[in-house]
Amino acid sequence: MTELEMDALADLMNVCMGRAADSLNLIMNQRVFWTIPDISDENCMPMPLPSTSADGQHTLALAFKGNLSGEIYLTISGQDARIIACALSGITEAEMDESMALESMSESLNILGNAVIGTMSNMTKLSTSIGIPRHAGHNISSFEEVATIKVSASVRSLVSVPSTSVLVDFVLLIDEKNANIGQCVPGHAPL
Amino acid sequence: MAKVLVVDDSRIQRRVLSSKLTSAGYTPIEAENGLEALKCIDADPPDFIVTDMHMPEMNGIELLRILKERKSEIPVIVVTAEIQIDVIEEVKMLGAKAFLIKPVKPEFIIQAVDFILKPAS
Repeated sequence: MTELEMDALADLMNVCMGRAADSLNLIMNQRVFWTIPDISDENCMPMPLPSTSADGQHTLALAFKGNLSGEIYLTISGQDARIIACALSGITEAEMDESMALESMSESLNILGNAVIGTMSNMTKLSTSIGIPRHAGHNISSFEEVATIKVSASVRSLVSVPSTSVLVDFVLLIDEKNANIGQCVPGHAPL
Repeated sequence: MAKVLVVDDSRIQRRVLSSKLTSAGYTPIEAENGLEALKCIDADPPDFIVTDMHMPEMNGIELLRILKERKSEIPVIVVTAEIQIDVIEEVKMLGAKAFLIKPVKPEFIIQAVDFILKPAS
C-alpha cells in the first residue's frame, strides 16, 4: 500500500470505528472512547496487548469473505468480557459464568464487527458475507498464530469505556486481495 | 396467548428475549437456528417469528426464503447486527415486517411485536 492509500484507509477506518464505538455505547450506556486507528503493513501485524487481568485475555475472531475479505479480532480480559456481557444481557455478574460471558462476547463482536465491516462494505461498495464469531484463543501472543488469510494491511484501535475501565483491543486484518482498498474509499480518487 | 418463536444462536439472547416476552403476555418458543425453527413451525406454527440473521446450520435469510416459498403468513421481524444495505434490501424483499439493528433493547422488540400483532392497541 502506498502512503496515500493508507491515508484513505485510515479515513475509512475512522468512520467504521466510530460506528463500532456507537454500538458499544448503546450496549454499555456509557461514554466510549477509541484511539485513532493505527494502520500498518503486513510486516507489522500488531500483537495483542499484554493482559493486565489475572484471568488473562480471550481473543475472538470474525471472518468476512467476498469482494471485501478479511478478519476482525477482538481481544479482551475475562473480567471486562463479563462486564460487557452483563450490560448486553441484563444478567447480573453473580449469575454470569465464563461460558455465558464468552457467548455474550461473541455477540458483542458480532455487533461491533458488523458495524465495522458493514460500514466498510457500504462505503466502498464491495459486497461481503460476514461469518459467525469464533473463539480464536486464550492469551495468544501473535495474530499470525490465528490468522487464516494473507494480510495486506492491519488496522488497530483500542476501544475503552473509562467509567468501567473496560478495554477492548480491536484489530482488523485486510486480505491481500483488497490491497487496493484505499482506492475504493469515497472522496479519494484512484491513486 | 400468542406464541412467538425466537430464533437465535445465542442462548443468552434467547433467554433474555423469552423472559421479556413472557412478561409481556406472550408464549415464547426457542430455536437456535433456522433449521430448528422450521421444525418448530412444522410441529406447532407460532403466531410470530423473531429471528437473528447470522446463525450456523441455517441463517435468517435462508429461513425467510423458505417461508416465502411456502407462502407462510406468519409475520417475521429480523433482529441483526448486519447493516449492509444490499442485505437489508434482500430481507425486505423476502417479506420481513421489520428489520431491527443490534444492539436493540428487548423492550423495543416487544414493541415491534405488539405493533404488528395488535395494531389497534
